[in-house]
Amino acid sequence: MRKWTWWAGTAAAVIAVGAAAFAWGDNQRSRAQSLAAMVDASYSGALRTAVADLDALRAALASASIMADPQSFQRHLAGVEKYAYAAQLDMARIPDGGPDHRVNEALHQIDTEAEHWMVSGTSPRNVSVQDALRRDAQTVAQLETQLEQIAWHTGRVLGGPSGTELAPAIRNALTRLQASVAATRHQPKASDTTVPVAPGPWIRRAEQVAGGTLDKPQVSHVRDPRNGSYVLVTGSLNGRPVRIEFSNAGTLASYRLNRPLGKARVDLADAAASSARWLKSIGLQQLVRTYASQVDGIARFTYQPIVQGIPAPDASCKVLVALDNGQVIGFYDRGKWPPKTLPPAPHPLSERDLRGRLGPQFHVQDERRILAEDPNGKWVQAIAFDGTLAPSDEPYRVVLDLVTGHELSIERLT
Amino acid sequence: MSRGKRAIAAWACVLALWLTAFNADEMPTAQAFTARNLIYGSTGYDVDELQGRLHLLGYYWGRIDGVFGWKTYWAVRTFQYNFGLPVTGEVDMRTKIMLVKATPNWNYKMDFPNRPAASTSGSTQQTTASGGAGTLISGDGFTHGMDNLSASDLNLMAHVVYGEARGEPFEGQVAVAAVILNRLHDPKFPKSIPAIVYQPGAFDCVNDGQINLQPNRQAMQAVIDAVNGWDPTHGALYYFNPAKTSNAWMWAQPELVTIGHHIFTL
Repeated sequence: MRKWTWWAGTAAAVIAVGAAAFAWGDNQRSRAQSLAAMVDASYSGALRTAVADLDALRAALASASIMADPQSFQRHLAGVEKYAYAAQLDMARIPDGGPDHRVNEALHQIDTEAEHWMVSGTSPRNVSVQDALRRDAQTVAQLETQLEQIAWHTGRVLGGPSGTELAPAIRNALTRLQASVAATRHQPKASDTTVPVAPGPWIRRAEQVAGGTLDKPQVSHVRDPRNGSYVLVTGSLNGRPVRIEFSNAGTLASYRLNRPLGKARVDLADAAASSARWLKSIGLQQLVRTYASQVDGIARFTYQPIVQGIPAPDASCKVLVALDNGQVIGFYDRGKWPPKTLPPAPHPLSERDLRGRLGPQFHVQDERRILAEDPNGKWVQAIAFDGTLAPSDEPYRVVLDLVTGHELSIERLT
Repeated sequence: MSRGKRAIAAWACVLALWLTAFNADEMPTAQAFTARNLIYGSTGYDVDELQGRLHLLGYYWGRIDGVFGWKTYWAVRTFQYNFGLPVTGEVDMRTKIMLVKATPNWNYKMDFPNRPAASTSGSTQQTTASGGAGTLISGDGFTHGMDNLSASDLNLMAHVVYGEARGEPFEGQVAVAAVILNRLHDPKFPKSIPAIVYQPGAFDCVNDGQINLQPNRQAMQAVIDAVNGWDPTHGALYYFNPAKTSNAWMWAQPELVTIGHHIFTL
């Protein structure tokens, strides 16, 4: 009797444990399945939303082609911009399996073109505009057709053992879709100067920048497929790592000395003077200091190049000064410099005309002439209006083209 | 002088000093700028005083926070213009003297009724990042944005830098932040920092949850340097750790530079 009870108890315990394990496993499997289904649905949703946005984009492009009335044309261009942007976001939500994002590049181009036509008030009858609209509509129609097949294919979007990667059929289809868009990538520019082989001059130049003798200096020519090559000098100054980059022409591109910082003892104005002396010592003089900030014992000064007395903020560079002893520990430039002479401004608009383009809630505090880049990357003369926006009194800068009056940029000042 | 008279004089001095100390809070404190010049970006009690005096004159209408920002800069320029000084927007000794003359009735108590008198000495400089008003980093993260990026964007970037490259050299951390910014300016990628970071499969630290680790000061500094324009990668859009990646597409991309354990590519 006692033996029978023991066996029955053991069997009941085994059954109970087994049932519990089964229930737990089943619960885990259901949760994993529902999670996978949720992720699957979100990717399917992104694909199908992209199809819908591409369809709306195609309609907006068609409407813009049809209407020659400037007001309607502008309205449809706004639609083109909106749907091109939305389609880009949809595409960005899809793990495409091949990160060659040509579709987004094409959509961005359509978006930028529409924006440019809107800003410049281009006529809807312009032949090149009509050509571009026709070409864009073809591209979008082709993308929509291909993407529709992917979005509505039967089966799961996700596949693979981990359940987090796209199913091979989807991945391949997306890769074909990306490849179907003509690449607009620019060919790398060949370097127009040759880099001296001897490291000596570069080390001497680096030591001038760092203000001391470098230990174990190493010079390497780093190949950049887009911009030729640049020269990298590494080493250490007083045991601290230094990294300095020069362009092929010998101009300083960046400099950073990495060292611990002591208690701040140098005030910002003295640090500014120190940065100006350092710039002069390395031969950069046609610069004007504009902003400054101080964080964790480092002061950062922004300098802008001056062309015939006019600053070019788009080509600014930064100088970093350690506030413990006033040593310059960093320099970065944006790699772009303004032209040597001012671009022509044959019929500049008056200050009144330009101010008339600003809204009534923007209170101008300061205005000055500057050099700025237009949307095509061309340097133009412009007027920068600094002011505050009511009612929050947030400071903003508005840059308007001096000749056309077009808005070049609006920046929130921090 | 007799011993008695000397004793009376000494007691009188002690009494005068005691009365002075006792009534310090009631008396107008000596207000004077320190010798340092103030420029855009300066912080500290000198700037408090500058803002207070400009406010009294009606030139400054912002918050008196001890941070020489845009509103202070414009107020200084207007003051300089109206008082016949060179319009520089920088506060040198000449501007300070003119400002003190123009506001003889200004007192710290007007702007800071609860601040102890000892702190009105004027020279304490808030150059550290932590705690001070208007500082970029405070406590666990960025308090305000820079270069058209919000504080939230900067914090997210710092999380990615820390999650992806905390064991890397400093320039390697800057490089990761620079890749995010390069994507922001590239038409092939989404147009906001969160959309770039959370793009499916874009960053490993998002997949494995390391993005949720609290970034350290170095990661934040790396973000600041990248936002300020340092790009050690020269325009890279991708990076990978060769020891951990077998992705053929990644290996086929044109390599730009290797920093630490990461290869940066176009």
